[in-house]
Amino acid sequence: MLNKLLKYEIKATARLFLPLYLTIVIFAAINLLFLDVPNASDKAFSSYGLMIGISMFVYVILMIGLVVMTLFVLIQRFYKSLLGDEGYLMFTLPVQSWSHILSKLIISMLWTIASGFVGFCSILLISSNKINISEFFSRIAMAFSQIQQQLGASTFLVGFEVMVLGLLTLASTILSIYAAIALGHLFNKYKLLASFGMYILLNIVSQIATTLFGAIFFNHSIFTPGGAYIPDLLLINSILLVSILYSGVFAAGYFFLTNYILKRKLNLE
Amino acid sequence: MSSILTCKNLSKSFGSKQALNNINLNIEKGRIIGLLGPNGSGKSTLIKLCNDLLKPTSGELQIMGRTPGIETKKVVSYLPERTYLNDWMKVSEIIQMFQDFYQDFNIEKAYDMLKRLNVNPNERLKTLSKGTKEKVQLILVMSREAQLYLLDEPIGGVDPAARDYILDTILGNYQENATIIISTHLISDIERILDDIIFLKDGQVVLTKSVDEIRDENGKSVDSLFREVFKC
Repeated sequence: MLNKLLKYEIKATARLFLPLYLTIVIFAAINLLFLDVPNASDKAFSSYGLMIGISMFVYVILMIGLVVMTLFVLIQRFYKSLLGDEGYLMFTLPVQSWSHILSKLIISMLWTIASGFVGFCSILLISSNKINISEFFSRIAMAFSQIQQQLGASTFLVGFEVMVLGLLTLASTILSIYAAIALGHLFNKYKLLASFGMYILLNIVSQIATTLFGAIFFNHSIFTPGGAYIPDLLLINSILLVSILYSGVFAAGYFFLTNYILKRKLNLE
Repeated sequence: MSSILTCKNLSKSFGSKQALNNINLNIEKGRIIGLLGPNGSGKSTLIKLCNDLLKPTSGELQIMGRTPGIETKKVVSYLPERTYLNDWMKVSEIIQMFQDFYQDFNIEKAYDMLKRLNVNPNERLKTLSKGTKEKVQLILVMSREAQLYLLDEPIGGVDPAARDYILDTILGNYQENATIIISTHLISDIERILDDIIFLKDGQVVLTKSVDEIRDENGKSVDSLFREVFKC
C-alpha cells in the first residue's frame, strides 16, 4: 500500500513543483543572456538596464517562492490531505496510519532536496559567465582530494555518514512539523495557532536537549578556541555516529508521536 | 451472530459537548436502515465512529466483531456528508485511485453509473458542480461490493429528479447480505426503501423499529411518526 500512496503523493505534488522548477530555469537562462551582453553596465540607465533589473527581480522572487512553496506544500500536504476534508478519504482507505506519514515524509524530503538542487543549479547557470564552471568543479574536486588525503581509505565511510546525517536531520525537521500539526489538532479550537505554538515548544525542547547532550558528550578539546588540533579519524567518526544516533532518536520520536495521535486520537470534526 | 454493527454504552463528547450518550445498538446483516434525527442529533458522529475517523470517549463499537481499523475499512464503504474529493484529479483518476486501494471496487459498475448520470470521466473534479461532485462520490461508494454501506446524507445536495435514480442505484447495487445505513432528514424521499429505522435525539436512541411495525402498530408513515416524535 505504501507504494500506491507514494504514487498519489508524487502525482499531487509534481504538478506544483515541476512548473516552478521549469520557470526558474527559464528565468535563470534569461538573466544569463542579458548579463552576457558586453558592457551591459554602461547601459544601466537605458531600457536595456531596466529589462535586466526586471528579469533579475523576477528571478529573485521566484527563488524566494521556491523556498516558501517547498515549505508550504510540505505543511499543506500533511494538514489538508490528512486532517482536512480530504482526510475523510485518506483515513477510510484500508491503509495503516504510519504509511500515510511515511509517504508524506519521503515525498517531502524528495522535493526539499530537488528544490535545493534546482536553486543551486540556477545560481550556477546565472553566474556561469562570471565564473568558470569547469574551474569551479575542479576546485571542488581538489577539495575532495585534500579531504581524501586526510582521511585516507575512510573517505567513503565519512562521506556516507555525512549523507545519512543530512537525510536524518532533514527527516527529523519535517517530522517535527508533522508532530506539531498533529499535536495542534488535539485542541478543540484554534488548531492552526496551537500547531504553531506546539512547533515552537518542540523546538525549545529539542534545543535544550541538544545543548545538554553536546555539553556532556562533545566536551572535547576540538571545540575549545585556539586549540590547534587536527581531529583524528576516530573522533570524526564517533562524532558523526553519535550525531546520527541523536537525530535518529529525534526523528523516530516525532514519527511515533505523530503516528500515535493519528492512530489513537484522530478526531476529524 | 448475524449482526454487522454493535454499539455498547457508546458515548462521544467534544470538549464539554456530549454528541452521543450511551448508545446501545445491534444492527443485523442484510437490512436497509434509516438513521433519522434532527440536525445535531449525533447521526454523523455515530457514522464517523464506525469509520475510525473519531474515537469513542467511552463504550465500544464493533463492526463484524472488530473495532474499526484497517480490516473494517476493507469492508465498509462510507459516503461522508462533505466532499472529500481533491480538486486537481480527473473523475477517471479518482476512480483509478479507488480501484487501486479497494479490492472490492468494481470499475465497470462505476463507469456504467457515470454514463447513466451523465458525468464525463475526463472532467476535472474542480470544474464539477457541488451536486455532480456528490453524485461522483456516491458512485465511488456504491461501486464497491462492500459488507456495510454508511451513507451520510446521500441525497441532500442533488435535485429531486436525480434522487430517485440515486435511490435506485443504492438499491440496485448491493448484495443480498450487505447492510446499508442511511442518515438523513429527508425521510419521505427514502421511506420506501427502508427496512428499519433508528431515531436519534440529542445523542440518544429514542426508537428502533422496523418500518412494517410502524405501519402496523402506529398506522403511520415514518415521516409522520418522525414529525410526532421530534415535534418542536
